[in-house]
Amino acid sequence: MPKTVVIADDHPSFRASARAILQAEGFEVIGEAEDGASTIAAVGELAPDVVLLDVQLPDLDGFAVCRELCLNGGPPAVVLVSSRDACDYGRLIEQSGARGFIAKAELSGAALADLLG
Amino acid sequence: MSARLLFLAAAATLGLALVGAATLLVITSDHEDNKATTIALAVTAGISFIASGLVAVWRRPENRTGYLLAAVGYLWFFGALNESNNDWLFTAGGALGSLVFGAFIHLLLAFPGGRLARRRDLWLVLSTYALVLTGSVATLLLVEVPNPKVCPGCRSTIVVGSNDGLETVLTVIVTALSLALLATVLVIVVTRYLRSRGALRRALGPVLGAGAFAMFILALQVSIDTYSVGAAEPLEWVFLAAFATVPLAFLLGVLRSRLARSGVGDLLLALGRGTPIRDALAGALADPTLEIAYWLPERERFVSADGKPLPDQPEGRATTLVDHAGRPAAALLHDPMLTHEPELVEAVVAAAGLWLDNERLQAKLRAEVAFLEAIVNASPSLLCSVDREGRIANLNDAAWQASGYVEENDVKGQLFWDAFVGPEARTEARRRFEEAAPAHEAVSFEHTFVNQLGERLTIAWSTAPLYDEDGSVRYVVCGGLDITEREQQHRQLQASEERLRAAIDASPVAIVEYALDDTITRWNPAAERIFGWTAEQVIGGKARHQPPGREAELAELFRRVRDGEVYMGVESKRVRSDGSQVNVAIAAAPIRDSDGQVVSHMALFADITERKRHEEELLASRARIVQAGDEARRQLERNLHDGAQQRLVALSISLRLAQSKVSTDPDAAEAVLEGARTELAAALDDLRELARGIHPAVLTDRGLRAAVEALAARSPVPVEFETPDEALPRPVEAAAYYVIAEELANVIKHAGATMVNVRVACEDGRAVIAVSDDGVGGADPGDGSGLSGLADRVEALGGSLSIESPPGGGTRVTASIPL
Repeated sequence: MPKTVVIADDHPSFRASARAILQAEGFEVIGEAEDGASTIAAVGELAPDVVLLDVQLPDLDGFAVCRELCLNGGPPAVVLVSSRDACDYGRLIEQSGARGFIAKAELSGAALADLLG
Repeated sequence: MSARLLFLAAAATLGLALVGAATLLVITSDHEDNKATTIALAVTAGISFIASGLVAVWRRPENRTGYLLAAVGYLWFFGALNESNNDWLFTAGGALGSLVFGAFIHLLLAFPGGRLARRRDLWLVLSTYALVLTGSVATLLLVEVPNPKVCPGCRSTIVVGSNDGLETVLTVIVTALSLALLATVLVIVVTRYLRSRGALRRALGPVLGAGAFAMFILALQVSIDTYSVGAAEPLEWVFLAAFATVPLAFLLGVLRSRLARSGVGDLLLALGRGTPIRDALAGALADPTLEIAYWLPERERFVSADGKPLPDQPEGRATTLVDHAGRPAAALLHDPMLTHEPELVEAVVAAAGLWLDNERLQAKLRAEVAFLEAIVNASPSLLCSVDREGRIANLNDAAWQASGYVEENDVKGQLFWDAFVGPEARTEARRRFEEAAPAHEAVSFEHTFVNQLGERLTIAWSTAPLYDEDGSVRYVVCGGLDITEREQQHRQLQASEERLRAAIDASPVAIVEYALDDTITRWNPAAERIFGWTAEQVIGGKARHQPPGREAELAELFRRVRDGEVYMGVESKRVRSDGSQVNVAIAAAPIRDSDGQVVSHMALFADITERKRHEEELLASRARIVQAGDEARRQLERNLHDGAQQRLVALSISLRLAQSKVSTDPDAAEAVLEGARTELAAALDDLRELARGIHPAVLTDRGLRAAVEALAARSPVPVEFETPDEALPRPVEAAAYYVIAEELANVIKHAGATMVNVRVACEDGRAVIAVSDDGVGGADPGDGSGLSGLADRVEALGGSLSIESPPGGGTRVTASIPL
């Protein structure tokens, strides 16, 4: 059974690209969100396995959304993405409770699968 | 006196005895034919010499003339021994009878003083005595009958041997020497007479005349006798007559003195008639050379009648002091002859004493006047006397020099105001003088005038009236002090004070001077302007512009300034009359007098409110520029991030997706690649737009006109534009571009305009950029329209930005930047 994914990003072009490549590589994209609040709502509603979460969202930033999602203690697994490099964020990623970080340009089903184990 | 009288009595007795003896000898003589005549003449001659000699001795015992006269008389009687019948007495008469001629020549050469004044005269007299004695004795030694014609029987008792040849030689030698001596004495006597003057000549005349004549006859007699013995006999009578005249002539001189003494009466008459005393005295004393000197006891010297010190007297003048009322009154400088007539001088002087004393007082007065004149002329002050018409009657050297005239007399007689007052004030000076008449009370005034030498002088005058006998003003005495230099210094000081005052009045800085008791003594117009109080309100009172609550601190500051500290550029706040505060830069310094004592202090306040505002604006502007830069970079990052970066990320993912599908599903891969190409083109567009936003390349490469053209081309609202032909400096060009770009963006976003007009022009050394539209207006520079950023950019170049945007009236933004 393929893992379900919600993509949270404010850029439609990225959401479309991510959906295409993840679905092509065996993930099932069950929802998209364009800001923090709708992300939290979508996760509550859809209960995906994975949330692909952009660090920069128009309302809440990705770390705050991540803390909110992880507070509930279980799934989904949150993977942070950004067009910036991981080193731009320092230890924020480690401390966020997210499963991992993938640079947007490096996104692929395999890379996501690697993080999920 | 009695001794002299006894002596005179004895001498007279001797004379009488000699007369008796001589008479006896003549009467008893056996060889005298003319007994009566001989007695009459010879005795008369001898007796008159003795008598006049004794009279002279009685009158003037100190003069030897009397003795000499008497001696001639006594010696004369030796000649009577020749009448004796006794050979011994006859021989004695022959030896001594000629001595009388030596005494006679002695008398003539010593007359009138009785002393031989010269060594030559002494030698002559001694030679004469020697010659007559040796000649007579030699004859008696060589000739047994020395006078055979007169007395053939009279023989020399001392003859040593008769020798006719030797006798002839002796006679020739004695005769030659006698003639030579007589000629010499004659020449001397005549010369003396001719050289004498005045009283001396008159005194010498009769005596020397008679004497010289007698000697001439004697010489003639001797000469003739030499050739023919006895031929000269008649001359003997002539000689005797002339010889006997000498004492008569002497008595005549004495008589003339007595006559002169009667001139005292004439003197008093002449003085009474007003004849000048010198002339009267010169007449009475018969000495036209007479001068009078007057004694000034306070100066202890004699002065002449006009009060001047007496010049040194030439040699040969005699002085007689005249006392009056027990003190020296005058001295007569006169011919030394007059000393022989002391009684005359005494009588004349006694008679003239009162006049002389009067003259002495006048001389004293003149001397005092001369003394005063010397003081007046030596005075550095100007002094002049002015008559009732205002004419200068007299002036001293200082006044004369100040007038600048070459000749003192050129100033005298001039009107005072013509000589010492400038033309502009002459009328006024004349009017004042005329108004002061007739009292001419003392006044003081100053006048500046240009004197004859072209020197500009200022004189401070004081006047005082000078009255005549009847109490009316005769002269006005004007005393002046040359104050030209003082006046000049005063004017320079005034000018310098005036400059200082003008500088203080014109100063943009408030200048306040505080007296030592902290009251304000100076408050310039700038202080009025800056603090709002007028000078009348604050001068004399305490400072009102000091901020409340700082009194103690400022009092301490005042104290330190007065101790000599100088403050400069201290920035603080002060209070205005309306209660508002003003930012000031303060400088303060003590003011010292010429002794270095602090007499006040001055504080200078520069109003720096405007400067402070500018500084604050500058700080804010700088902060805004920095902020705008930050914002621009943030925007740039956001734009990159949101635009091109996102597209490139998507492109990257698309390429990976295409890659994974290219072998399994080539059609799908192709579709993905097509999408990727579109994405890439969009990314490039984004980047280009972004780069343009960072700095327009066209501005750099092609200039402002091309850049504005590009902006206009991209604008959806039609743009009309106008740019200058000349290139603007780069920073100005960039500022102009951003003003236009930002405004066009604003117009497009907010104005709803149908047309935009852009105009860039160079006017009066400034670049003027104007962007106007026909839109809705009502733009607010503070609403984030970017206008404040533009203003900062323009102001950073020293320019200004203005905006007019009435609601409904379009918007016009104008930037003006100096080139």
